[in-house]
Amino acid sequence: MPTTRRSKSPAKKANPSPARKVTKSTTEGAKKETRTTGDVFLYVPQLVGYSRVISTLLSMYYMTLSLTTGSHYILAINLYLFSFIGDLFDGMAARKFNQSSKFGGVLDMVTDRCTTAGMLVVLTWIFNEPSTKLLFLFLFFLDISSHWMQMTSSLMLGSHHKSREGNSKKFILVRLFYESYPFFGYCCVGAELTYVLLYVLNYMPSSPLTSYVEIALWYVCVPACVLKNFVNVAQLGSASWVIAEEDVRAFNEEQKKKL
Amino acid sequence: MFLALFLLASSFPTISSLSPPSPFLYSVLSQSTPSYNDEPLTSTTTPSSSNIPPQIPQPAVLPTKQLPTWAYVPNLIGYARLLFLSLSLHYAYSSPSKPGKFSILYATSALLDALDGKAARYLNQVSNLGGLLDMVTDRLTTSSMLIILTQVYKKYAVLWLGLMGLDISSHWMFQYYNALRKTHHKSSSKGAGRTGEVKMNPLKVVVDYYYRSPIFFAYCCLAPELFYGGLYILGEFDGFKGREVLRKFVWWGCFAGTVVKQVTNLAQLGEAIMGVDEVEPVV
Repeated sequence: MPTTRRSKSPAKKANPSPARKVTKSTTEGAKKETRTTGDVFLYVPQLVGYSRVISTLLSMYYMTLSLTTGSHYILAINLYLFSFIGDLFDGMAARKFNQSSKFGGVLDMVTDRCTTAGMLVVLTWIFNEPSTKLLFLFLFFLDISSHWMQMTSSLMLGSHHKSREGNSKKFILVRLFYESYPFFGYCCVGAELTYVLLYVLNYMPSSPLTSYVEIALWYVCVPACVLKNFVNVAQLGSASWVIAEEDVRAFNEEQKKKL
Repeated sequence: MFLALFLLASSFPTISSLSPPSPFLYSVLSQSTPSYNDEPLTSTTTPSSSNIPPQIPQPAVLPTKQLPTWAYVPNLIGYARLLFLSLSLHYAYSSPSKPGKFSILYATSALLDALDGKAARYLNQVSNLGGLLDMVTDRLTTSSMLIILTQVYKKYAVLWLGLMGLDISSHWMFQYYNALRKTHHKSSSKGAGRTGEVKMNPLKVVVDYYYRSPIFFAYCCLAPELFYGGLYILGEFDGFKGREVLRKFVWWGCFAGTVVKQVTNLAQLGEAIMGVDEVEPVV
């Protein structure tokens, strides 16, 4: 996941030139390189992001094909896994090449949402039991809403330095999620693998391998998926709280101005 | 009868956004309503303090008469919308051959969408939380409808998934872009929000026309809902009275508007993508 860094040196506002130049100093030495806006779309993490999008679209196509003929499921899941692994690399690339950008961050976020959404929709096709279909649908609701609220609340917080939102206010699960990279990795990877394995098990012909996959699914991945979704709920709650606090703060300030 | 009710009510999702004149996306996302500024919309309803004799200063705490944000009436309506949506999906999946319960619950959820904006302005309970709740619920509603269509029209599943992805990503990027502009831009700029000259952007021309004509705008917002809903009913039900009328209405009436809405989605996605890294951070 890429981090968005604020540029330390302001852009040249006094002299608007036709080619917009954003000056960023690189971390290697005192050399200053000049980039144009168009460069942002060709950053390495963005290229990874575009390939993720294409890979997901193709994977969805093959997943729909596999509904009728069970033979494309391996290709479909490989494309999906390629997209998932790409998610690990785009953040690394952004830091390595000093190519963090807001576009990259939001591209990463939106692609994550859409990939997970697509996978959950596919799972609603595979399982016939209505309550199982609804379960995946609600996981989709939770995923979208928790991340959307979380993004908005952190954008709002970023502008108000007096915020008291610190880790002390968060639930222990959420704190652990952010402070421990192994736990974070386990939750994210485990949750995605749950959906992947559920899909694969539906199409895999029975073999000794199947029982191992099932054990991995139920004992390793499903707990991670449950934990991740608890964290989602907690983040939805705390983000909503932050936004409501911001509303109250704005309301009170406006009340004070009336006097 | 439920058919008519469903079609009528599913057209409501964006009627609330037509009053005030500011269009739907702008009213939720931009500086005019629930904003991330320090001056929320409520300031427009208060008289100027110069006419009022000096009062005892109010304490800087939540006045006891004021409800907490989560309990605002429009937000309660928002929660109810989510509840009705969830119930409607329950019936869509558990009794797919009888869309009656689904339609009524879904229509109720959509009707409530018309009410929450009005209630917020009438009761002076506009809030960021409410705007965001409204936005997220709208996305989830449209997505649910598209997900149901993937079951009914399996052959076109990738198309419905693509539309869902476009809907989510365009609104997400656009909201992110607007939020960035508000928190980072000291100078509130109209239009492109860029420093320097505004480029002649073909995408902006499309979006401008879309917002300039309220009737065209209303049509483009209602059409996709009616299109998806109509397709669902056509796909589930066979041989009911008025089926041919519905089919003509869906294809000759709603399809064009659906296409235009996707074009504007793309345009706003494009605008957000182009603008997002040009927003100058506060140094």
